[in-house]
Amino acid sequence: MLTGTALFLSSILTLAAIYAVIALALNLEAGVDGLWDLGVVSFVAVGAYTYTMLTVSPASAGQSYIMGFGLPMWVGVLAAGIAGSIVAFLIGKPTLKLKNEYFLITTFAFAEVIRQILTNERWLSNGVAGVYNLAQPFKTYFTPSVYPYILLLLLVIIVFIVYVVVHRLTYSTFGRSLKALRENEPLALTAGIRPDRFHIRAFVIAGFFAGTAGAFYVWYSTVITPSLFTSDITFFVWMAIVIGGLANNKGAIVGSVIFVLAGESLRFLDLGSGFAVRMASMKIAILGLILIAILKWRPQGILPEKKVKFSNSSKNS
Amino acid sequence: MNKWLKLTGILILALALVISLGGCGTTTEETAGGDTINFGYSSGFTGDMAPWAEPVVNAANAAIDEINAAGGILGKQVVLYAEDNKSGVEGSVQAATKLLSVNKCTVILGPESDPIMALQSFAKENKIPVIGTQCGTSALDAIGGTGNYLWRTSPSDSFIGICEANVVKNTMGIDKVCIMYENTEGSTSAAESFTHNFEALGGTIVNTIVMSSNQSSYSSEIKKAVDSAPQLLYISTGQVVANTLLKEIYQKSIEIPLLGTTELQNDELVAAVQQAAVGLMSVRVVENEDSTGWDRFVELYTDKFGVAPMAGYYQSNSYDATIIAALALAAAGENTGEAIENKLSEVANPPGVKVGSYADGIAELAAGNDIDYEGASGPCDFNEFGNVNGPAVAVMEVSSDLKWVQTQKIDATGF
Amino acid sequence: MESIVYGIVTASIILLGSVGFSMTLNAENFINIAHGQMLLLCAYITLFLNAYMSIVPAAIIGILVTGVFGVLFYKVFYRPIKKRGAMVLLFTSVGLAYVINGVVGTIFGTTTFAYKIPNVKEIIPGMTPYQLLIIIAAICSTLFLHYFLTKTKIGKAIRAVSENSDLAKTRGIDTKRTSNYVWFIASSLAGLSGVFLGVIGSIHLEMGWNQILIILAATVLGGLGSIYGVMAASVVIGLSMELGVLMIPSYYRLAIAFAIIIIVLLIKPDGLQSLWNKSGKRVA
Repeated sequence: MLTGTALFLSSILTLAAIYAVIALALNLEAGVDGLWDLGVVSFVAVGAYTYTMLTVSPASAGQSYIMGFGLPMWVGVLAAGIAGSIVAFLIGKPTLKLKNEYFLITTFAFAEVIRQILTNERWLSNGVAGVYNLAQPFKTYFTPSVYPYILLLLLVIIVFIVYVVVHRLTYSTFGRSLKALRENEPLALTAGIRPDRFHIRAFVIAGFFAGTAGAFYVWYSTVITPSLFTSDITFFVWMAIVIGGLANNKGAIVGSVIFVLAGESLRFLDLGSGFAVRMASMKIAILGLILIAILKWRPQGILPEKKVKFSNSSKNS
Repeated sequence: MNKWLKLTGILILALALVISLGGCGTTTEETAGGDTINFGYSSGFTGDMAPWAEPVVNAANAAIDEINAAGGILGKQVVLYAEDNKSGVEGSVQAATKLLSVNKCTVILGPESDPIMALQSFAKENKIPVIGTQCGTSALDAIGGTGNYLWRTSPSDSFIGICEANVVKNTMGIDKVCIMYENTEGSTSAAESFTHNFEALGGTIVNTIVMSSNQSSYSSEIKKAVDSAPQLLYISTGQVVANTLLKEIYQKSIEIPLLGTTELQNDELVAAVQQAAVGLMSVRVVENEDSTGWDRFVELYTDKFGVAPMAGYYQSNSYDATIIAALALAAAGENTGEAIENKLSEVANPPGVKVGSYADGIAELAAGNDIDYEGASGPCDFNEFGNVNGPAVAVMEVSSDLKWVQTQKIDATGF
Repeated sequence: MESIVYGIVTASIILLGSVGFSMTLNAENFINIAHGQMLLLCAYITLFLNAYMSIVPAAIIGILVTGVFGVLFYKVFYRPIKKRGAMVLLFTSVGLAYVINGVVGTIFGTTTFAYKIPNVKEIIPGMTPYQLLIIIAAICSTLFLHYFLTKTKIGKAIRAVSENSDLAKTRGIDTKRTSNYVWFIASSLAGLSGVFLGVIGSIHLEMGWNQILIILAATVLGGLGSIYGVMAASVVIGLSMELGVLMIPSYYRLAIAFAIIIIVLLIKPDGLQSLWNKSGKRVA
């Protein structure tokens, strides 16, 4: 029972770690910078597909997708990040001038269009059928019963690396400039901070990390299909950073872990298989209540943003 | 940093609490540990597959009740743990991990197409057989079977496609078909299989119209279909799209015959669209000779749940998978995934004494006989890849009094 | 030609769903994701009542009850945290959306349902009496809302509050009361739209999620703060979907709509309303 629970827990935490990477990426652009990006899943999707297409073997009979170069995984992960940032650049360049709600819906629309293309262009991605049985890193060195812990360890290390990088960025001149833009754009302008250049940088960096997260997501699921990349991921990660504490990097991680744990630990509420289907709906309601409760009692998130010193007082609504 | 630690602590405590609470709820099973045999069920209770969830889990529970009434397996009672795979890949991995590691299940029943494909290496590495009961994907055609830990009791789209193509081309004598399918995995796979087989038989697909899910109207799509002047419309969609589509076809007074996939063979759809369903045809796999398996199951299920099972809801496939797993375990005499895996083919396939229920099965096994389970959904004979085919297909049609009736039965052995 | 009819029908369905949403967005400055679940809630309440009475009284009661639920949800969940900012409100509404969806799923189960209504035939290509009703309902609710907000006393009060709630208070406007009106009307309109969706299609648990995204898109495309903008946006999206499939494969129906949204917003960053509303630029 104990080892079993530990195994399940490690599987949940692995998933949480993957979400934490996306959350850290989103936190940089949405929390530190104030971009209302509702299309973060597009970077994840493009990253995941880039990784898969580069690392799998060529398409077999009955399948069709581009590339299939069988490249090493680390090349795939790097390429996933680069692809993510390229997409971020292409989307960001024309759209970053848009204001909050308009930016929100445009990024969302881009994410939907990208998913539709992945769904319908069979030559590109093998369409809805997806690609199955994808490899996991270092799998051959360990027995299956130990491997989940290894994957978790690997992802914890990755989250730590991403955290350190994003954290440094947040407290660098770059990060401070972003916050200045977020808090008071006219003032930031007078200080010589050019919004377009800073926004696009934040967006592209977020694209990079979210892109790599796509590769990690493939490690976890061992399958890639377009249906993995619906706006659910975007909403989920947004919820994670909001309950964790917008603009707080630790909060992004804590939020991801709490949200995944909350959702998955509800699996232990078991009234027997006769009620399982209705209970599944009930659990959605409970998850909603948890979200509402956290926001009610910790509106700034569990770990609120530490205020950096600005020369003039920030106007928070 | 202190706060950070405190929070993590609270978090772990909260989780421990929830887990132990969950544990309390099921103390009788958990403390007993080895005293029960645990079967897992993973299916989409939320999301796109949710309309099928209750019927299939009910069917599995009906089977479990029968097994326990017959004395359980190897003298132990069977407990079914049902988990939501959220109709997707990510949920499937989580559900399977929980069923295997926390609930110590030795077999996982139920996953649909995408969810089962996500378990390909999971099943093999953890030596736990996964038996799909509502998955048609052609991707599973040649990767399952003994030693690969993937099985299914629902027929492959490839097989159904052959049957449908034969029925349309040879029995109905139709040459020109227009395909309308929803671009989801399950619906696409069925439509492609039909297209492939129909063209191989010399038929012409005059147009293929791919539909997005969840639209409020498909008028434009229907117009395109009608403009291609087909003799029959082949419809492969989920419940929600089918509702809108059938209503609109009726509203436009289109008289072209309709053939839907097996999934559309359910009473809810007919009740929902009423007259718009009249004349809708669909094909399902059946026994060759007048087997009593289906009728027996209809009676059993109706008694228990107050509604009759339908081929399109896969209750019979779910029921059969549960019984076969139980028989395999009984035959193996050992409660491990590996033991079940090695016996699945043996108890379901000929040679052997034909049995139609769990009670008969264990009686024959006790007598030292090899058995061949004949189920509610068909003969349930696995091929080398863990797929089932059927000896015959029935053509079902919605009659003018809004009931699914069998209009023809066609021998499928020659297909 | 038929495609234009299809487009207008589709546009009306989107419009009907969007007017209520845009009302809470304008009056309360609040992206209410739970609006989609209000559609669902009303569709299911009506379904429940439809077992005992015919669809029209069932729908009327359902819509009124949904309106009351809207006010209730506002009082219990939103008002206490109104000062906490747009993000907290938005994600509270996501939480509430989960709660509504989960509770409805627990009570009704996961199968698809339909109302007990007679089947009808088209009166002209692409339009049955039901669709005609939807078009009428969409236009009427838009006109009603416009009239209500510009001509009635309470409507003017709502607009005053949405422009500057502190100022409105000092002028003696009861902001609590105006909010109640806003939430009742917005939720009822959501309910009406939910019932119509059930009438032409089916009632199922995903219907709220499916609708909210297209509603959000239409409202933003229209340009925040403009009922006419939403109307124009619904027509643009509806027509582009139905005319688009004449040229592009139908599986790109949604993609076409979103591509148009992207293009329009890149040309007109303040949405369609900026076409005629040059001065009234809302500061976001």
